[in-house]
Amino acid sequence: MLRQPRMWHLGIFLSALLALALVAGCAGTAGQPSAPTKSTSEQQSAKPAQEKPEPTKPAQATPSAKPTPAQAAQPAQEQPKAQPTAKPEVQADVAFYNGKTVSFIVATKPGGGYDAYARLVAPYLQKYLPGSTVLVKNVEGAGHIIGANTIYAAPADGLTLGTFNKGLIVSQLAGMEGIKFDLAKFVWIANAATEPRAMVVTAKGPYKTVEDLIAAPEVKMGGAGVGSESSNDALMAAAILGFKVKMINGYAGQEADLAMMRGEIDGQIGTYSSMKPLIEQGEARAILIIGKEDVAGVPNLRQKAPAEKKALVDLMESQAQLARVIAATPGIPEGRAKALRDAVKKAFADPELLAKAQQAGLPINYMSGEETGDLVRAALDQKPEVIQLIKDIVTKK
Amino acid sequence: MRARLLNGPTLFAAFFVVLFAGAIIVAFTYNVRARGAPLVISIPGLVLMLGWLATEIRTGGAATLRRKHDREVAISGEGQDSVSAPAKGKETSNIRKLPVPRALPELDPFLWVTGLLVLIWILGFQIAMPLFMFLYVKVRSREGWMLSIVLTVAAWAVAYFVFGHVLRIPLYEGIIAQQFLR
Amino acid sequence: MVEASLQGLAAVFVWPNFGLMILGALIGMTVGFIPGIGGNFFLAMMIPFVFGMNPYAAFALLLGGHAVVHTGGAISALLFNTPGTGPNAATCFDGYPLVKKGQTGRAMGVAMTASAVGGVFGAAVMIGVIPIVRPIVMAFGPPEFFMMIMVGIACIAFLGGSTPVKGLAVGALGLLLSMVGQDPSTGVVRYGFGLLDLWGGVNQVLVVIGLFAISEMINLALKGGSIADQMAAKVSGGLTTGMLDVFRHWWLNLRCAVIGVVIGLIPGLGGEAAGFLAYGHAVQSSKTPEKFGTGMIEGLLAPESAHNSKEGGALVTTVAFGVPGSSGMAILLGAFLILGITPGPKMMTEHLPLVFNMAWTIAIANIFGAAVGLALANQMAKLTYLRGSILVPLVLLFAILGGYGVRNSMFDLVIVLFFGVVGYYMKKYDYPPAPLIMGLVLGKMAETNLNMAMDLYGVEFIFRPITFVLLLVILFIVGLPLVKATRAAFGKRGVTSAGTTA
Repeated sequence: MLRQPRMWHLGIFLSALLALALVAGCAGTAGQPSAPTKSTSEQQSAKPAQEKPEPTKPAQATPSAKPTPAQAAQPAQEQPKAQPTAKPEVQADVAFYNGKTVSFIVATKPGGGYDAYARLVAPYLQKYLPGSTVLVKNVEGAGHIIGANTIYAAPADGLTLGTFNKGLIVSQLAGMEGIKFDLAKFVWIANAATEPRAMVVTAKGPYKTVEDLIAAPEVKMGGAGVGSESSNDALMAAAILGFKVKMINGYAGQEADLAMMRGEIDGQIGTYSSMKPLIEQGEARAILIIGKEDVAGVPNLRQKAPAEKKALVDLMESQAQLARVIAATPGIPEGRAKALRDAVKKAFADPELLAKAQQAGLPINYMSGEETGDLVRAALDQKPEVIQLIKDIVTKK
Repeated sequence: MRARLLNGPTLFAAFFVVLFAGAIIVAFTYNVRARGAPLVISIPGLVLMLGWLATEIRTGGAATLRRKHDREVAISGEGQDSVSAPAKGKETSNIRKLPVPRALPELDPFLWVTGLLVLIWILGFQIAMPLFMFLYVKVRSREGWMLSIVLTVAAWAVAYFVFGHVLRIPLYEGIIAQQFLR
Repeated sequence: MVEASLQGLAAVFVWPNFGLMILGALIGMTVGFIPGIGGNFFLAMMIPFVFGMNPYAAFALLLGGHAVVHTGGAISALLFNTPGTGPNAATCFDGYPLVKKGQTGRAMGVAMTASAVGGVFGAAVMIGVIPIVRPIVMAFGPPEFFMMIMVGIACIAFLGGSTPVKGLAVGALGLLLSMVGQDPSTGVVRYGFGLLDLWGGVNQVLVVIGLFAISEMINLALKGGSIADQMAAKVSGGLTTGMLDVFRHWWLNLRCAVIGVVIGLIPGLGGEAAGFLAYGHAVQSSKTPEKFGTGMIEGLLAPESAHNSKEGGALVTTVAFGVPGSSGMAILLGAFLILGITPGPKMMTEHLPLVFNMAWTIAIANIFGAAVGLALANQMAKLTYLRGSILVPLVLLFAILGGYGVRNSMFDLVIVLFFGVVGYYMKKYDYPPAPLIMGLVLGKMAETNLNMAMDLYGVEFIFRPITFVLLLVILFIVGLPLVKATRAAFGKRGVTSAGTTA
């Protein structure tokens, strides 16, 4: 029945595969935003660049170790390297990006929130850096650490930036192994959104106020795993407010929602927007809000927290503020940093992007790179006893 | 005596034993809760493999090899198993194999696969894929020029079009490109 | 209800919905075929197009593709022992050996048909299950998950072939491997040896690519010949035989489809496990468990059925609760938002025709995908007769690209290589590979759920009704063969028999 195949069988098979792929690809280019200035140059970066690569090692001399929130002008990004322009007012070096490929690293696998924001902004970043190609690259692993490491260790030429979980601030404070970056030293490009976090409890449960929690013998909170954001938040909240928490870790994704519905656990902490459906369905009740926004009828952590825990409260609030950070490799030339920042700023002001974001349910509250960097450095500046507390929390059972 | 110990099946069983033993030892460096499951798994595993290792040593590995042959005969029912059947046609005789020790003919393909990874690591997918295809098809399999070039171009095209343009998955560019061509 | 159902069905055939479904299915199958990138990538890729579409059109595209990703993945699993998607690893266990025997046509027939049947079943059940989904999902928590996974693990014992000891040891190794990485209950990184890349554990796709595809290519490179070496076996028939096989084993098919739906339905188990649990069930319920791994039809149709039916189950939970049953569903949820639809109980009242439409789309896309696969089967089968000298580099590159694609990581390729070598020796010295994969997939899940069950309820969790029943099932599964073997051993005491019993 089946005779020996000829080479042309193989040829047909490969061509069919390629054809199918090309069809999908053409459909793919149709999804680009309006007036994209797509370069006709090649995608691959192994191109004999017109520019000689800068001597690349990231700046050890970045004097930004001491964070001062009251910094007005550009955060300390000066390097003792050769600069194209040594003017006090730095020009955005947009021309550099013409014909280049920019890697936008996402520290998660495809399909999560960080991925969604990255894929939302990438085409517009490309639009505002004319001639460039922005490729989204998923580098997942070790709870965003590998992705952040990748951005940090990339050549400091301004062609790599990315997004990761600001929970790494807590991880860095706790001194987690495997961290090869210093968040204070990243070139912060922007923060795309602020997302207040909410502590919710089961609607059918006995707890209605924070005081109820404090009075209870034990509150079962659900989390993803020791050291994860959900777990750290719950433990920090417990440390601040003084209720006895029992962490039940192992709920991936939204399984904790179902656990709450089952009455298995008493509550969890997550972003307010992710808890909203549960609240609206009548399954959960918001008992506390963490963040600068206020939600009607729900007390804010700031109000309920005792004064001596202010440092921790600030830390938790900064986590809520820095919901979608974008950072670039330390030590990139100032002109390129400015170009990136400007392009991202314009992207997040682009009406098309904003419309898409709204449709997709992705909130956008743009915060500049400078402000983001200030917040990050402030959050990293903690007293030893706070750091010890965080260490205990992050590695606790 | 040496034959009993130094044959393939026995060595491989010993490898398993070492693996389980190592896992047990390392498990004790973790706290009580974390070590529970690994121990519950590795200790019986170790016991099982120790027993099997003893069998292999006793029979000098013959137990495995004989059973395998029997099973394959029973299943294929043709007195010929697909793994050890002599290949047909020009392939085996003509293939240019690497100079590996006679006892370890499998080193030849191992080295080719490792070589592929090294090539990718140094040169990146875009270059390594066509290069490997060419080297394998032309140099090892000794196919004709036409076929070799077609396949090489196909490999390059897949990397470039399918991954570069369609899927837009950036492929690793190799350390040379990373260090020197940025 | 019936009216809504017909409305939903009609919408499938309206242009452009129909065209979009076809397009989605073709792209979905292609993406599924390419190893390393799977269903989630397809969805993430397609979401941007969904803006501004009407819901029927959008779901035609998205679900049309999502439903058939595993069907495409089965093709690469069968032809090259390289699973196109994670769950298709189970397809390799008995599918590839069939191909090696020259029965590619039959294998494709079985795989495609079982996929279609499973998918249609899942879609059909979707509708029936919606009213009772809530009590079901509420009844299953970590204790029940633990027991279900233990049932699967118990089935591993049956995969040992002629030497149960080896099967069990390999299973133990698989379970051990799954422990690599950060433990959610304690935060401890086990067996990581300081390597960040191991924090998330050893990815099952990488192990399968190494163990199955790479080792097979090493074999081919060494011995020459082609994948399908025995031309004589083609007499046993092709596509139609395979298709009929599925109906011959209809009862098993049904059971596996049910397993798939249940697992898809209940978030917390992870869809990955569906195919493996179905495979385990097929092995354990067969009269000749030792033959699995050599090309048993049941071994091929079980996982294929389950992983297509699970999509129907997962969709139900997503739609009815607004809680995604898998990461793919989480992405789909994003699509709901874009389209302005809020999943949850409201969907049943406001958008019932749409819900039916989704079920119909999945069913019809499955049939379409299977048809495409079957149509291509004969041509694809020819590839398996290509000589190894050309095929080996092709498949190697294919597999390596896949291994890289899982996480864009070069380190992962080292894992692939390692398991390629290990796989070669395992095959040479007659250690069955399937238990390794099953242990790898199921191990950590079992442990995590056990820890959670203990944290939540203490040891008494065993006495929860469903948990207890499952425990009895496990005892039965494991106990029965033991009892039989003991009886046989005692009955034959004093009489030496030539063969050995388990």
